[in-house]
Amino acid sequence: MKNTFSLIAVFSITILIIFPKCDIVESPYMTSNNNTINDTNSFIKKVLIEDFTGHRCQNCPEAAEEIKSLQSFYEGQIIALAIHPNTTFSIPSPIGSSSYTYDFRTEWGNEIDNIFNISMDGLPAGMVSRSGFNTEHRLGKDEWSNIVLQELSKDPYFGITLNSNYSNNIANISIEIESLSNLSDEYNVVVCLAENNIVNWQKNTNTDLEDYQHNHVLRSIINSTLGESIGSSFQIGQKWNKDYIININDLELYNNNYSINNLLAGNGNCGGWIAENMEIIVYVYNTSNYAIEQVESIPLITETILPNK
Amino acid sequence: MKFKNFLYIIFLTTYYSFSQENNSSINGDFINNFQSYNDDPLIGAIAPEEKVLNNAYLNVIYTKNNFSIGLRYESYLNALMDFDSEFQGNGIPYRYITYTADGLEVTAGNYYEQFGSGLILRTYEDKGLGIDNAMDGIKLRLNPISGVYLKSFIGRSRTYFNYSEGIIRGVDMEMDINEMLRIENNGSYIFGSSIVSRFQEDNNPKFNLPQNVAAFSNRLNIMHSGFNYYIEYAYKFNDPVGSFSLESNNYAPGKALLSNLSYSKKGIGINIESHWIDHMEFRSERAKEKEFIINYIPTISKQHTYTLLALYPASTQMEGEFGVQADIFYKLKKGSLLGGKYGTKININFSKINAIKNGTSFLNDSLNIRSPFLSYDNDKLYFTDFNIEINKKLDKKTKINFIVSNQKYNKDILEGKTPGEYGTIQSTIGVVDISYKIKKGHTIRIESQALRSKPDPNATKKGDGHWVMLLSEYTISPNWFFSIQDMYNFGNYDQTQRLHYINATFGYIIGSNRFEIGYGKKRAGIFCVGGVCKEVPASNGLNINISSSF
Repeated sequence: MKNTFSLIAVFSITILIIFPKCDIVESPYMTSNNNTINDTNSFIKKVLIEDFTGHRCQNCPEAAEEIKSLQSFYEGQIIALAIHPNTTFSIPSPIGSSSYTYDFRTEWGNEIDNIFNISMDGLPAGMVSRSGFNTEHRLGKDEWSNIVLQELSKDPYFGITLNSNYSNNIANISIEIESLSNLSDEYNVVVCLAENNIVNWQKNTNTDLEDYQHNHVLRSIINSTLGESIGSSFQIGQKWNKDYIININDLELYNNNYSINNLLAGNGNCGGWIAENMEIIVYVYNTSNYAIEQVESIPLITETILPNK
Repeated sequence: MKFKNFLYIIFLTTYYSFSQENNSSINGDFINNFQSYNDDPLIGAIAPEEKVLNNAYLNVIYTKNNFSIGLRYESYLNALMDFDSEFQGNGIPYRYITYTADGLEVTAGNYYEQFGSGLILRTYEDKGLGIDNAMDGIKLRLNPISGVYLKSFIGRSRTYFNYSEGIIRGVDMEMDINEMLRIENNGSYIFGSSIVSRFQEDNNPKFNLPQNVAAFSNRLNIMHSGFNYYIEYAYKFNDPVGSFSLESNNYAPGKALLSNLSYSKKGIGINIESHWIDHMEFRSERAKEKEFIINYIPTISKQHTYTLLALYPASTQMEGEFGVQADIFYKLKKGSLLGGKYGTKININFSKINAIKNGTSFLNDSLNIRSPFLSYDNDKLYFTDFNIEINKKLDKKTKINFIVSNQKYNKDILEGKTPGEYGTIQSTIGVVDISYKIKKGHTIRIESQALRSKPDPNATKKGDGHWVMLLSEYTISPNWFFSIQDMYNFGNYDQTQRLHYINATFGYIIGSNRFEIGYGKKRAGIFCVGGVCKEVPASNGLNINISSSF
């Protein structure tokens, strides 16, 4: 009997230990609204959030809000790319329909989705600098902030300097990548073109929004989905340079043909590009694990200021 | 890996040491589900690149006296299409050692556990749903005195092949008053109390998140003279998701009340139950998706087994719903006017599920929406089902089961569609199931079902319209069975979708081995077990299922 009561006592103590271990948080719940960067180096670590989305995805605007909140908190350190992969969420209605006729899909978005298998388990979902490949890279939007924090705590391996000269639909993009460490892995660079402030239909939790503002929408990848090598051995201070000349009209036409010829229900309605709303996003990743080590962006027309930056 | 290796060594050692002794045993089972896939654009079936997929499970349990050790090998090469693709590869994700000594049971490794009805904790495995949230850690069970049952555990919960970042701790105590006080009467009074707590580090620099999130529940079960009353109340403290958006972090507490009254005596049974749920999803890791849920709210609607009756199943809305259900069983006596020579069984069932008033409670720095306790929104119906089932044996060879049901299904809410897209679909379903014994060991069963559907006039889209289904099954006991069924969506509003979904199956059973081969089309739909649901994609192909036990 004595042992019995001892055992009950042990359990009672366990209950008493667990029960107080409940944290009841009181308002204000938000404790800080921005992050102060004390880094005085010329290059700071930035992260890329690839947001896999679709105009018929009712929870996807919440993911866009999460990106906006992260960009506001980590000012200048979060670069986003909205990828509309080929899913039921992104299929456009036939031209002449009253809504959802725009085709946001691109060849590159579909290829990225095929490599990383993001959309197959539903949207919204995304990757933060492709961290965790290949088992934990697919993240729900509420998981992004945790990985952002982890990624931003790392030292940058590279610094990226961009310049863009734009005139009459032609842009000359100059890229300089400087190694900030001695490195021995192979790294690739990918050059993307994205557009902000595309006003079009979007499903939201309770409604269909006609004038939703789609931001950082992937339009094109200039140097192929997996990019090109910048080398496999780097010394501190070593630089890699390259210029790319792009014709916005040609890229727009390419997407138009891809929509009509390659996509289910593709209607070719993917034009109306506005150069003033476009940005160049360049990232460098480790080819062994796809981890994006650094990312940078500038407006296509450098004098413009893009929203959500 | 080291721990796994350690387990293998223990397992092999115990096997060779004790397998010759009489009081030890090894048992287990094996399940293999193979499916081939063809493209079938008409039904929306897309074959995976692999063309064939296979899930397999092998359970082995060694038992000797008060000692037990077990493991389960799982193979997903690759996982069947209706499984999450995160199930991939091979492994031994489930292994445990258990022993019992002087009233104390100790389990190290993996285990399943449920406290009460599961309102604050239920870890379980369901292959149909693709759920396995087994814990990995330590579990203790203690029966210190007669009538007192104590349980405690600490561990991490499994999702796919990984374990949660959150550490889950819990204690449960159950007291059977009659057993404790050695009272012998026809009543029974059982009281239970549980606490579960999850620890996960707060590394959100913008919001203050609780690192230790607790939930508790109290339950009471009174059984007396054919009456059985069960009530359980659960409360979960603030558990925001940890997002960076103000709108996504909900600091409101979760609440749930479950109540069930039943009465039974020979020939009659009555069951009345209800539940009220507000913001009760409890996950093993904040910010994760629903695959990480570690609690369970029992469904409040009848779990139909006939296909068309279960075409529009109610999935429990853990973030808020109020449901009631009444179930009456009655057996008309043998020899009575309606009972006939063999008697007649009648089951009348009614269930209704509505939204709770004001929706899910929500609390953050700018919003404080509270759903008053036990309130509900009469204008927001989620689901209702009224059905009558009559089961009768006509003669020595013929049995008949007849069911008629009227259901209302809020497709927008229950399938997560945009409100107004499909609205509430009404359907009337009839089932006639006749079984006829041709001769000894030979039985034929014909199942005929029809569903008449009415779309929501205010919705922008319609459902699938009317269905009929015919199933014929021939059984040669004890070894063979053959079946063929056709589901025909003859009333689809889209004429191109008025399709037949034909499936043919045959199986062979010998001893403890069962082989089943089927070929046919499966429609895309919702599959539920006990109110927990998953989406099933359309498929067209061959399936081979093997199960075996030893």
